[in-house]
Amino acid sequence: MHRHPSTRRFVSSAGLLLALTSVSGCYSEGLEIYDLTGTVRIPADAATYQFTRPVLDDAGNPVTDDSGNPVTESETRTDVKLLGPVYIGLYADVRNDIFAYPYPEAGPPVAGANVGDTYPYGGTTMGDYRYACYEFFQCRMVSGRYVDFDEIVSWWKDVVGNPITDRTGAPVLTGAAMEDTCYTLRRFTEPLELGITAAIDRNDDGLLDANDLDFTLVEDPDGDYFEGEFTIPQAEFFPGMKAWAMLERPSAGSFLYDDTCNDELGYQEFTFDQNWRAGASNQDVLNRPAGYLNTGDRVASVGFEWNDPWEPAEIVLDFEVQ
Amino acid sequence: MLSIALRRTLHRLGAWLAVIAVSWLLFGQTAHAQTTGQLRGTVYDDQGLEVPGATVTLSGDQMIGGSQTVQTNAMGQYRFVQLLPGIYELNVTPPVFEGSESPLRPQTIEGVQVNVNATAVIDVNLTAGEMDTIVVEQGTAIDTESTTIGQVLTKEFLQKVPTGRSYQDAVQLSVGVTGGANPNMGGGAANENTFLLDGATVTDPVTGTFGNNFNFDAIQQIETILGGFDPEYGQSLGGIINIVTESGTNNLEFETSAFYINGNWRPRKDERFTSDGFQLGPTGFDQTFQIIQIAGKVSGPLVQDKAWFVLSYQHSRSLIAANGIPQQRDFDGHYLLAKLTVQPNSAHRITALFQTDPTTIDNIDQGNPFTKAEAQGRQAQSGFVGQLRWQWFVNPDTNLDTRVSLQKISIEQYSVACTHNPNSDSNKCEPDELEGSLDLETPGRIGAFGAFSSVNFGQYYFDDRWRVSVSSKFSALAIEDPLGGQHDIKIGIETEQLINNTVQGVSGNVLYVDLNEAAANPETFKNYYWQETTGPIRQRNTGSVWAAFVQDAYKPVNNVTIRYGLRLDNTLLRNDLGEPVIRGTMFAPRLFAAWDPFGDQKMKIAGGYGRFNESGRQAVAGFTSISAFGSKLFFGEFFQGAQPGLGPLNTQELMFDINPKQNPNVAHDRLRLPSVDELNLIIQRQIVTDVTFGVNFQAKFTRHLYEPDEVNLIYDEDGSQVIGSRRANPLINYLRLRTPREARRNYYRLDFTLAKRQSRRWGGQATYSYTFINGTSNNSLSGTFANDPQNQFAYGPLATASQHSARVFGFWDIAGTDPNTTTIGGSLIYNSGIPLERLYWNDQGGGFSNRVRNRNFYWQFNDIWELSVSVQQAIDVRRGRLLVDLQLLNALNNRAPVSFNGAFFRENRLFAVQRQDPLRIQLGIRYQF
Repeated sequence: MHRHPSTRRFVSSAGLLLALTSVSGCYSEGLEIYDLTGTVRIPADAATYQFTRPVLDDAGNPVTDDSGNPVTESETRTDVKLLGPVYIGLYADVRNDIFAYPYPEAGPPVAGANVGDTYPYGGTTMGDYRYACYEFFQCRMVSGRYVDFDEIVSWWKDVVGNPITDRTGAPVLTGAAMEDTCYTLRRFTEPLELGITAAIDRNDDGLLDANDLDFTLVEDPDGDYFEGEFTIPQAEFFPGMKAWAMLERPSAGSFLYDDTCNDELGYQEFTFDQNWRAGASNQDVLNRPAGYLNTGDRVASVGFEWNDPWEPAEIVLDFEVQ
Repeated sequence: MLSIALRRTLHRLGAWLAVIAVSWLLFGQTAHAQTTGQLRGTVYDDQGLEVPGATVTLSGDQMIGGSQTVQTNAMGQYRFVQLLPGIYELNVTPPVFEGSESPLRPQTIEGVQVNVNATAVIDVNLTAGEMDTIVVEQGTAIDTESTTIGQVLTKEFLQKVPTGRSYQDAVQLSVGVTGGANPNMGGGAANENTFLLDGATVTDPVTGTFGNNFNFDAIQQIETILGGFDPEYGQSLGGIINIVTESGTNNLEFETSAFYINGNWRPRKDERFTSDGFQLGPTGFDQTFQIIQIAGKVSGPLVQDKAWFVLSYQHSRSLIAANGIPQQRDFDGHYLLAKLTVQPNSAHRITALFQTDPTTIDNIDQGNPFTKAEAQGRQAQSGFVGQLRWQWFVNPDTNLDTRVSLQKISIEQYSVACTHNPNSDSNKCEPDELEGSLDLETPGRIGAFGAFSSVNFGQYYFDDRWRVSVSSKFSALAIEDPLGGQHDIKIGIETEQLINNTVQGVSGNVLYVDLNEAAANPETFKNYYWQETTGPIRQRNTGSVWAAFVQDAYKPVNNVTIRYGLRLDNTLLRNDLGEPVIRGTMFAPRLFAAWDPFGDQKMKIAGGYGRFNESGRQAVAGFTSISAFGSKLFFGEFFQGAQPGLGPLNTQELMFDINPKQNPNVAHDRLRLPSVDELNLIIQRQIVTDVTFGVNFQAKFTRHLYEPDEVNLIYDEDGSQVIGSRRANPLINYLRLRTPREARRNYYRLDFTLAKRQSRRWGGQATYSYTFINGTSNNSLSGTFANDPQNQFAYGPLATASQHSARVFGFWDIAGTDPNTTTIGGSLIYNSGIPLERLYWNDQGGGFSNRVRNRNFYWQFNDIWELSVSVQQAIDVRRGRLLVDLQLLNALNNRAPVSFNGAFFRENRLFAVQRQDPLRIQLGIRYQF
């Protein structure tokens, strides 16, 4: 078809404009940055504790034996609430010759330290320390472990045998009371804002339940395990780096996370006559994991070698620190 | 096909273009924008047929060189270009053919309004009859050729409507403009606008904010442009504020005025509360609110029709203690403007402009109510703009517009000089000390969290910012193509060179931080810690920006205008080592069209697409400047013995260099310039004479905002706690400047406008806008990924625009009282608040660990209502006119918070440190002759 020259010029100009627009819209920073995802598995025995509680009569009074000593009962429980925070780090390598347990490649010790810095590439956690409105929970509350407030209250009262207490020392008996306290102090109206209970329907089944926590229990003939998925957003990717993880288990009896949690950090509560901090992770956990690992904690025996950023990682916390 | 005349013209221009090109290379250049408008139309006879050869004469007070006369072309069309904004008179005389007498009679049209950057269209219908002149008042309410979304505020409006006496206040009346003195325009951040003075950029090259205060009475028109602008405009992600000054007339005119504004008449609100009523302390807002402005202006001819001058001076002094700060902010500014316009013949016009605004501001700390008087600082600042412009009108359809300008901004902050004045309670000189000497040696002392200050200001800062610009534009108008269309082609090039010199230091190189055991009692200071710093640091950052554009306003038929073109922006900004930090070359294509469906200038449908690139700001490049304070931390008596609850400070091991003597921030190698893509749609319809109803829709998609990405700290899953560091130091942020596509803002606005142009003694406008904006940041630094896990929460509603806003303003000259006219004016501004519990806050200024703001956690905005009314009485006096002006600003005394201080965080509340200005009474007297 014949076109007038001016028409051709106009069409050519328009085409050039479109091409320039397209070109200027394409831009690569040249950075290898991805949202890295993966799965962490933890053998169920890492979340298994034996609880010893006083036996109560129908009136709620302790039952004593013939010699007047309280009668106790023992129970062994495996529960996701007994999993502390999982720290996931991205490292140059994982070695078995630094400590008696697998450990990230570290630099030389300096300034009297017994181990050097691991210089992590990145990392994240599965569960972290949260402000839970009562000083009672200082370094005790890990996110992603409780379904709702009632479960929190009943767990500490009925299972642990150490009821939650408020700032006056009075026990907190209902989840509603705890929720009200949190909303009053923080001016929240949604569990999502507080972030200590299941608030996001992760599996899209329309329910907020145990399946929406960080980990779910998987029954397996070779041994039950907890499994959960993680994401490290906007991580710079280095081919061949290794993903390694560690789990802090709570101390028996007090159920405190007193290794990785620092009670002088975190949210500061100073409402009314209170002045305390909720506790937060120490800031160099990924740099010096050895400083925070104790007997019973779990680490990954093998670091997941990450060569394809789109391939999900699999990390198994199968090594018990002795 | 080019005409022979045009070819000759181009040939003659060649040599000049070569000279200009060399100038560009030597000096470098900026945005250089429209300061004029144009008038065109068609002359018809009483049969509705075009009248070729009619004589059209345009006259007006502001026409230097005298009246202009053209003949209508074969299509009966006429056109006048490069017209200074103002009111004109048009005379049309029908052609007289030899041996015959035209049956048509001449016509005079008065009151033709020409606005900056606009085309007024006046079609003339000559009628048969006797040879006399008829006078009609006629104007066009709709610019059917424009594709921009914006607003022109004329001098007449500015004097009759209660706007506040600054251009920063006046532009708040424009649709799509919110915020303060550095407004958010069209969804941009407060530092993403371009400020133009008589067409040359006067934006602060470092901060991207306004660079000058300005003589209000010297303003002829203020144009705000939010989008849809031609390629000759660029380097703005937000909007453009284009100030056009008066140029004088053939008449010697003198004007003087005095305005006094008092905000102490309102009902007092002495308690200081948070937004939700939490009482913070006994001291109050607004102990003082007084402003006085004295201005004078003289203009007139040096040589009739050939050389005009304008001299303008304004003194502005304000004493405002609006934030509960005991020491009132004392602003003392002097604005001087001189302008000379010379047009020796019809072909050349030369304009020289000089403007400066030396200002001293005392008591600059207005954010901390516990600041002691002797700890207050002083800021001396001055902007300077000088520009020389040469317009060469080669012929009525061809012109060359060339400009050289120099801008300098100086900012100096320091402790207030000492005095021997026995009445002064602070800053007393030692007996042997010279009065006025600056104390750069005595260390400052501040309380924990900045709550208590004493001794002196404790820091000094000297900053000089230079911009040298050269630009030139060549316009070839009314080029006809073989298809019968007509083109207005403009090409141009702009360059600018930037220099920023700073010296900053801490007095005595030590800063003490104290605790008080008794609240607000400096006698109980207990040494907490102190920080020794390295000496003053000096930086010089430089930059070079250039742009070139070509654009065409193409009219394929008379009622369609297609405005398209391409702009090329190039930026090179260097840090203090001379390293290129921000550099890039970006294309900015534009394609907009306007359609007058009935061809009667009473309706317009316009819209299109455009890309606009930012040229960068030196402050962003300075983000990576290598010079930085080295500092060493020492603990004082407070730390003797263990102090529980103080975290990592509670160990002597941390007495170490907490900052290296080097800035840890770097820039990524592959930065690109931020850009915004705009789509808009404009529908305007004249519903009755002079009254227009319009609907605008504007969508702007900003991408590649500057992003300071954290490269050291590693956070837990919700971004609230640091769990590691890539560089073995968890106490220092190392930031890498990036421009990822994910650092973005999306902006949508729908406007409804009802405008009445000034006629029949009144004018006004009412607008309603619905705005939605979401993205990563209110600011130009996004900070989206400064804390890695924030990515999942990064995008949410932003506070840079109100969801609902309304603007109503207008005036009425009460009829029947001329020349002693009484004018009543009013304005109403409303911006709705945003549900704060849904407000995201993850930008650089907001901190790295705050994401979804909690319910009742006060940030901004509350609803803002501001109603102002004015009464102006003109009194005919000997040899002139006296105007008495009484205004009630913020008549309802609404005091919604407009900014907050996070340092006074308490129980999830932020302390509102600034509220709307109170009810003010403004009394002004103006004398004109």
